[in-house]
Amino acid sequence: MRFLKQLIGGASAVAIVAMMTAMIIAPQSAEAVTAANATIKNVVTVSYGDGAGFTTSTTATNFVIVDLKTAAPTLSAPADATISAGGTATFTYTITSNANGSDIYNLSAISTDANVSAPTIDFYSNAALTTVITGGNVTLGASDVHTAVTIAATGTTTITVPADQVADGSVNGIIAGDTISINGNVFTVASIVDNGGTNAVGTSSITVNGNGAAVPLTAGMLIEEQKTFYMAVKAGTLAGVGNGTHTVTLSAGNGVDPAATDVTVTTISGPSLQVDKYSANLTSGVAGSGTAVTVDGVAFYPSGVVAKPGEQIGYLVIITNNGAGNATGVKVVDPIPAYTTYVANSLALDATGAGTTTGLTDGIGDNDAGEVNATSSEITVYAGSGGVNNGGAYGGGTGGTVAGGATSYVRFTVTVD
Amino acid sequence: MRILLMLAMLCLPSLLWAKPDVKITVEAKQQIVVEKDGKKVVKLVEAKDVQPGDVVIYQLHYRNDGDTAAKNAVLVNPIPNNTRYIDGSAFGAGATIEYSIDGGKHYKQPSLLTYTVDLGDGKTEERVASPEQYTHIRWVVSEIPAGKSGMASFQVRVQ
Repeated sequence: MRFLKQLIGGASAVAIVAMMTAMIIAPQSAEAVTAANATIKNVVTVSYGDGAGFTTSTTATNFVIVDLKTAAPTLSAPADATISAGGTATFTYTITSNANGSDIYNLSAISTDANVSAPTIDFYSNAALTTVITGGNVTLGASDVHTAVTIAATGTTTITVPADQVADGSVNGIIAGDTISINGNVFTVASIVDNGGTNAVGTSSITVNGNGAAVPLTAGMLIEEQKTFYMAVKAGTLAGVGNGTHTVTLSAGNGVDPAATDVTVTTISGPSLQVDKYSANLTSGVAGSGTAVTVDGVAFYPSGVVAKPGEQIGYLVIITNNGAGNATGVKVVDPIPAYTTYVANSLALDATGAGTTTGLTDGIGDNDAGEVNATSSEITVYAGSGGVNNGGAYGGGTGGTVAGGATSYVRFTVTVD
Repeated sequence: MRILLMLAMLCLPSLLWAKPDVKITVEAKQQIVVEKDGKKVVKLVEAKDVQPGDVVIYQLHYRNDGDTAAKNAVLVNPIPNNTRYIDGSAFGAGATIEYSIDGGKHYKQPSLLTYTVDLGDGKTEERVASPEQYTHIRWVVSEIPAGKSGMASFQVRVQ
């Protein structure tokens, strides 16, 4: 302490200790970044004597303006999406500046498509997808914290920031109503005081609403505007059976730094057919095993059905489309089992899985949905909706359509030999 | 009117006295690398717009336009806002360079610039100040002869 007293020439050592301690406790962040358009003012004073006891002083001043330091923005990473054919997947993104001032970021998307034609991709600023982002350009403002402050959990807190070079009601592009991120903490801007002007050396202020937690901010932390936008991917046309995918790479760049990117996968769910065959003893009505499916009031079983010679067995073919896309051209071909004889005109179809079938005639090319080939001993039913045996020859008809998630039932009956 | 006359009489002789007249200008410079004849050459250019992280070189030019020497000339330059002094960058031929860490109240040479930290248990500890803590620089030039000029400079990093 004696040394310090010597050092400071007898001034109050206690006061100096207090001052210096404060300096150490609240150092400026090493990563402090000054906002673009801040003014660095340097004033030098020279004072001198004339050797006769008179002292004169004079000053010189220099202004340097801090420039924009560009940086790639931060893009969020929304989850992948699955849609049905013809649908539109909407991805909600946030984009956050990492620069020290206002900059424009251009959004662009490139899709790599599998089993589907190219999608239509648009960017919107609202969730209702009515306001297109013109040219895909998003402008984000930015500034920096001038004086350390703790944002209160509730109510509003004012952050001082360097004044920019223009009085336009915005601080480097940040205005009331904007969303800002400071050191990963997100706030909404309640109001702005803009004291900008040419070579302005004072401060402006950004007043924010608390976000529920007290957040301490240190001087030099960047204040970054954050915006939400919506990328709508309208599915192309499925090229074949099964799912298609649009793998979309979204880029947001400022033309200087490598662009920020995010990849989403939009799966266009195609048709996926499952076929099951159930049976029932129509003569004895004896139960089989497993969970029965009842069509036309008859319980059909997946297994365990027994029949004696002379008894009739009813078969139920269940066609289920587990995909989201429509299955088209659906045709059921089923051989008549050995040791049985087909019961004439027992073909029946329930196109939409309602639980009630409509009878079909056996004739080939008779313009209903079913036909029987006595030679090869098999049946063909153009299942689903709209199927018809209009091909003339056996098996040459047009298959029907089973919608995504829908079921179609085909029935026929045999007698055990 | 009488007061004005008296003022005029007071001022008149002073204009006739020989006296020093020191002028000072300050320039902000920046180093850029340019290509010349296929070689990279470092050039000093005026710093107008700078980015965070850039180095700004301030040059203080002084000149005594008077007809007698200026004695004990002291150039005082606070470290500009939004910048940090770069260690060892202050220069001034024939000048004694000192620094302040308390807003210009006291000046010392770097190794003598210490501060005391309260360790909280009644003890204190003395530490040597780091260049980031400097608030002011001053150059003390014992004499600027009439008609002579000089330059002082220092560098800062933009935060």
